[in-house]
Amino acid sequence: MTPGAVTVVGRGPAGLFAATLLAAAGLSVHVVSSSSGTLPLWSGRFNFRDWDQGMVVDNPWDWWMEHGEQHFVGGTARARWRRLWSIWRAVGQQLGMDSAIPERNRWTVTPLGRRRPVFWTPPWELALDRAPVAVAVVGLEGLLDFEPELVADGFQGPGAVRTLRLPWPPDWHRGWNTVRWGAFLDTGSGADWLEQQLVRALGRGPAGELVVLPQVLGLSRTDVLHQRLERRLDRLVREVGLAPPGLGGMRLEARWTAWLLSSGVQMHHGRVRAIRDAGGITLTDGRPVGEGPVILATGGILGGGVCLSADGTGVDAIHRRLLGQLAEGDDPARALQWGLVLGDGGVAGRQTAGCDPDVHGDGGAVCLWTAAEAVDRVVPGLVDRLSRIGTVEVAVLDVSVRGPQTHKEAQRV
Amino acid sequence: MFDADDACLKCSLCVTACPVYREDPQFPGPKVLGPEWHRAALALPGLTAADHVDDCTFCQLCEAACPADVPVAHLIAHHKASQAKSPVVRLRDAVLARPHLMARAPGLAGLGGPPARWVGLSVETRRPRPQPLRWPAEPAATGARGIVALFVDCFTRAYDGGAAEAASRLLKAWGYAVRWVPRESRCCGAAAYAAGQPATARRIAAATAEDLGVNHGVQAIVTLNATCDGTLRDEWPRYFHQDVPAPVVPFAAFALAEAPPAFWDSLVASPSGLVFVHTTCRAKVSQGEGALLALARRAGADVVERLDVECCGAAGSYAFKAEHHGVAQRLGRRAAGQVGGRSGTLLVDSGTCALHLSQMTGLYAEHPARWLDQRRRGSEANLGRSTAARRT
Ligand SMILES: Cc1cc2nc3c(=O)[nH]c(=O)nc-3n(C[C@H](O)[C@H](O)[C@H](O)COP(=O)(O)OP(=O)(O)OC[C@H]3O[C@@H](n4cnc5c(N)ncnc54)[C@H](O)[C@@H]3O)c2cc1C
Ligand code: SF4
Ligand code: SF4
Repeated sequence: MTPGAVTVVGRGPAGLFAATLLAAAGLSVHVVSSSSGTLPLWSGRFNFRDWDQGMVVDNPWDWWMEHGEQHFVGGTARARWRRLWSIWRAVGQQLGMDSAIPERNRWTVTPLGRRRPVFWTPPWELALDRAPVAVAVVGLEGLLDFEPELVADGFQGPGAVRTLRLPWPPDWHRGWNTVRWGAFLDTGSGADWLEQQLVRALGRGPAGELVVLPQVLGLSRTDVLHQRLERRLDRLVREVGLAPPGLGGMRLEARWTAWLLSSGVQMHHGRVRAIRDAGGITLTDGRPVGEGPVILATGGILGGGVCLSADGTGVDAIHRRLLGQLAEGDDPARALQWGLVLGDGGVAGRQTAGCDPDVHGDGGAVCLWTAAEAVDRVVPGLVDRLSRIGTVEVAVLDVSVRGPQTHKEAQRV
Repeated sequence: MFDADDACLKCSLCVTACPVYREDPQFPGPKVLGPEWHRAALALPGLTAADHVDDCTFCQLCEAACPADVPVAHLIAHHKASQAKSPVVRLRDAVLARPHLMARAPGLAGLGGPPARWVGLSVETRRPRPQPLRWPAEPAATGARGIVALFVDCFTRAYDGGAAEAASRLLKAWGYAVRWVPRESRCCGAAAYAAGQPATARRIAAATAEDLGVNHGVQAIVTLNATCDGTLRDEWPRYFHQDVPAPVVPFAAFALAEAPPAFWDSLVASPSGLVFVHTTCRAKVSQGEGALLALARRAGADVVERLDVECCGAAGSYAFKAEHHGVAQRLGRRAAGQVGGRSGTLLVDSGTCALHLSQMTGLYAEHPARWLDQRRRGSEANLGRSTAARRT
């Protein structure tokens, strides 16, 4: 029987994605969280699989075909991933971030000038298939996180690379971090300042030049500024993600949350104390919240979250309170595997054992996959049946099948 | 001082959530003003307050973002207490920290011209007009579904009595007997805490708790103001060391959970026009977001739009203070930009936010209880008309 309502604990990317799937299928959704998730620390990209034992993964589609078994993906990996990334593309479109799903990993450059693999990125973020013919790396005086000379190292190759540095804007002072820069560039005077400075500093430049900036292009008016700069400069403009907090993740979180709320999802703030037998949860202040089965997407890298022990109990990691117990008949050994069942719901996100997104570079993919698994446990077949996200139709991806690839074939880019 | 006051991991999530940090380039932000200042103050007793600490609106969005449960905003409130202020400003702040006394002389809020400037009140910010509560002749002893206490906060009591009356009519219609509490004009302590006077706040709250008059028979304390709601439910136990005698539930949540389906079905008959909904910062922190939107939709509003604004800048008496006028305006401008001159009704469960947002956007702002009650009466009138039309 399909429940009418579902409660999702956690508003990190896994929780928001689970809520998105459920809301898109017409269920009533309650999202409960005691704090921000990790999104405001991200640059905004969704990684698929970047590394395997220190080696770069070139084709994550193939990597998952080969290694899916250990993550219960098995032989269905490619079809499943195609479905999930198609849905993710539609979510991006609904949130005003239309970006294609690539056929293999691309690369970006870190603020230290290293190349690193990257999969899906929002339209403003740097992701390349090959070295550009010409690059202008533009730094901002006083923004120490982004030294253009260092970043330029990542582009060394056949193309021409030049570095520039814009002077301080009028109100600048030493304490400005990226959030402050973003807020400044959201204002009309900030946007005018950047445009004038870039026009003056870049001049005409070589044909096909790519302009690379640190990730500071506003918080709530990024699209307007980004398009304005590209038009005025007649060049592609891309941002490089900086050390956290990340404006890209903040933009994504703000758009995503606003859209979920407008779609009828209810957000509740508070720490979960217990999962109720009758459905939903109880908060530490005693409020009963939500209904139906519970999906735990409680992350954990920031110290919060839910600890799942081998005996199948879930414990609040800060206050050590018992939250719930594995469903009857569940093998406690599975508590350390993906898609664990707790009560009638499931577990999603990075807290699922076997996930280590910081080491594997698969944070986005882990959230998509595990949230979809958890949702399918609550409403069997939901993910395969979903045809639209908001007003956007889910168009199924056509990713060509390549031969199997072992990680030995992968090389450092 | 508090649990987890030294648990900061410096992740900066609080900074990403702070609305003032984005609008005020001088504001050092919650991490610096809260946990970092607190650590420094423990090491260096007598440390002077940081510049601009008073620009914090006490919206608590920083605290709600913190993954380590650090009481960021409350540490900042204690930090505010160490500021040096002129005697006139101290007097002004002492009065604004006691809205329950203001409510006994509501005309005071109209103070304008040079006297207002002299005490440091913003003469541009819209002030409330008195609209006192009319007490019912005699409270009903009991209702078919039990008794609820309606928490009549200082603002509602003095300036929006109609909201309490509307809520009472609705609660009665849903089968509840309603008690208005506290008996006298009393404050939950939120205003004093926000202004950096935690000790005063606790004294005010203790007097209110004593006078609350909520006995065992009461099923719930229904609140009309989002800030009082969070203060009673979350802050009284954790920061005021006060027990709350019954579950505290905001009006919108109570309505969604307890109003019978027949009530909602009866509402479709009256057109609503464009309805905007603003969930206040303090409601986001103590409850979350989505209940007001759900209420507007459930009540059959034609078009509902959510104001995409974290904190509107009113922040209780914050926008009334001359030195905060600029930040309050910048925070409210975002709402004005979104509304863009359209006309409609704005639902918001805080009187000061309603004032500020209506001034910023030109929308007609009202309490959800009033709006719901009007829809109920409008529907009854409409239905009456159509039955009459059928008869003729
Ligand atoms: C700094 C940083 C940057 C990263 N950048 C990227 C990137 O750019 N791209 C990428 O693909 N991956 C990235 N990752 C990987 C990322 O960590 C994970 O993939 C992702 O955070 C997993 O999200 P989640 O939803 O599982 O958990 P989280 O984002 O951690 O969310 C957990 C949620 O659960 C809530 N919660 C926990 N316990 C309770 C409770 N008891 N009651 C109520 N609520 C509770 C929390 O409040 C929070 O809302 C990054 C990680 C870090 C640390
Ligand atoms: S969110 Fe909490 S842990 Fe993170 S910097 Fe702020 S106070 Fe510290
Ligand atoms: S309480 Fe609000 S204004 Fe004050 S520091 Fe925290 S988020 Fe900023």
